[in-house]
Amino acid sequence: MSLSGPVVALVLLVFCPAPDETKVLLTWGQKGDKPGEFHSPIAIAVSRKDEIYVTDNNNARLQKFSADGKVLGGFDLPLDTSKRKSSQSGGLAIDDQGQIYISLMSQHRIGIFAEDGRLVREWGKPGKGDGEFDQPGGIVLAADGTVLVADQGNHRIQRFTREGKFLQKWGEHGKEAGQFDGTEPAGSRFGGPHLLAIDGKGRIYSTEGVLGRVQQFSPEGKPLLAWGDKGAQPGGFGATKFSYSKNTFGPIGVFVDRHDRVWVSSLNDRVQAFTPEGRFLLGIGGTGNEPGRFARPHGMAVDSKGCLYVADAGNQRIQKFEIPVPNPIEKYRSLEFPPKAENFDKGWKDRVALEHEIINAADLPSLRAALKDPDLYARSMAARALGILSDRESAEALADLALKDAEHLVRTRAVEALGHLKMKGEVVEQAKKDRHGGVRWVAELAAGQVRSETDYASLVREAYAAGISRDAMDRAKVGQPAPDFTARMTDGRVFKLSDLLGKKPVVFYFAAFDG
Amino acid sequence: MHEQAQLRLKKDELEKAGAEAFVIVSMDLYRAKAFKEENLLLSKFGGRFSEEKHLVYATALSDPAGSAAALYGVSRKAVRWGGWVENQPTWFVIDRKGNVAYAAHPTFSSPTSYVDDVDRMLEALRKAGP
Repeated sequence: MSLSGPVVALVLLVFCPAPDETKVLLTWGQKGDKPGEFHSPIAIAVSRKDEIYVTDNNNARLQKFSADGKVLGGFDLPLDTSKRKSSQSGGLAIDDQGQIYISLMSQHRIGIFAEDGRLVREWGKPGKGDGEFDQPGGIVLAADGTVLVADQGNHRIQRFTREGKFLQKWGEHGKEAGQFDGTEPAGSRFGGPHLLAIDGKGRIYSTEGVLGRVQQFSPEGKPLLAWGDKGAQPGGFGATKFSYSKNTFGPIGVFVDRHDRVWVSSLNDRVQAFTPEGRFLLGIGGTGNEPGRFARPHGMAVDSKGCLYVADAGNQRIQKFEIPVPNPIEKYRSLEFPPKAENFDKGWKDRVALEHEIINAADLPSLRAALKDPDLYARSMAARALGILSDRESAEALADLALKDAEHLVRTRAVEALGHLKMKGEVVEQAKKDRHGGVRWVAELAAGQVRSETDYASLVREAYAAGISRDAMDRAKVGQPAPDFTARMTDGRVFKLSDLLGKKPVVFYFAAFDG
Repeated sequence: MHEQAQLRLKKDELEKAGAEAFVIVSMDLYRAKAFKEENLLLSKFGGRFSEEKHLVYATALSDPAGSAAALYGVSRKAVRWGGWVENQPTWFVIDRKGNVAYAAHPTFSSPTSYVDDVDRMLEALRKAGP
């Protein structure tokens, strides 16, 4: 799936500055047909062995590289026609066994290849029926073992087993949620969906170049949300004009990294990252051929070290970037608080999941920095986490917050943290006279904790380390088996609900602070 | 604490039903102990148990990561004092077979609504059978 055809004019020459922490590590390739050269690199994927695979469309081949850009091999792909050396592929995915899934766009089929290039199996033929394709684009492998294919010309997404058995489809030509790019004539592949991605929660993302839209779907294919436009602002996908269409084009590639950041490449020569909710996070690029700039970037992938690879199609090269590891506290700040009634259920689950993520990530430098965050919830969460993580280096900063922060919630958490640290007892004593009753109450408790010999913080860390799946939340339903859990009794022993179940009735009360 | 005090008043009924009671707090063990063992909130009043140190009858459980509370759908759901606080208060009754027989949020709709809350829970316990 390439939109890197004959470019007449790039109407937008925008620069999207990379943040300081984003760095070009390496670029490789130039136009040509020798190993390591490219003629339209479009799709890219990284194997479990950190080998970088790139479809080289107008050389009709797949090339394989090491993470430092050395040619490791590759193989020829079936030609689209006998008249021209070309194999237009849209999507590329590699399974855990190293089998390579390629959507052969102009041949309207999916080919699965062994590492040595042998065609293992294939499915699909031109058409509109189930399992048939019109210029298939993006291909992704879902965690449940199914394969999703963007069927561009049919304006739908199809789901298959790994063996190619048709399972499901959704989408049609149109502009509404769950439809695909009705601003292009029906049947035009430029409408999309183009490329696909799946996040850690199984949500599916698609791009539509002409509408300038990214759509997010539930794992079952229900449209959840959409974002994007063809603007020039940070997060905008621009409006690039091609000679063969009256329309302009925006987003093309989409990829979700291990931190659930949604990376979108667009024909305004940017690669931009968003939260799963569509909030712009950071951008790389701008038009040009210097390292860090792009000409029609398409596919993206990340290796096991977290480095981002971009198929810089128009510059006939691959670029490798160091990208920042997100600070979980950033996500905490972005949570809606208090959540609106319609978002309340999601809101508290997000918060619990993120608290676990923040504490288990134990990113002390980021948490220390977050003590100065302008957002009071980020400051209070950072204070709480640093106490639980027993970060003695934060004691001074926490003491400062405990006495001076304007927000009582932050003072409360800072005092609580000093209790966990068993430090700054004099500050805790002062906090007993705080103007807010909640702070005074917590200070009374923290004072006792400072004097105690027990390391209570380690028990809290242990509780967080056990983790909780977001899917496991809110499982208790009347008439259903009671979910089992463990907790500590006040004498320190571990309580396990299942030890009692079936023996006697149990009553429990989840108490708030003052229960 | 009102709910816990009321439960203590009705502890005979709990014992008659052969049930065991727990109160789960999303706090570290030190604070859970203080909650259980220090009569922090009501000891200064002149009620029936005002001279007693241990007001909480139920066995207190420390759930500082909120994991048990999240499983039961109550974690970090109470928005008070400008922030998320601890659990959304909720009563659960688990019958002898291990099924959830009753789940209810206290209403806090009146100064004495805790009386009805505990009575409703005990009624559910009776209905759940021995």
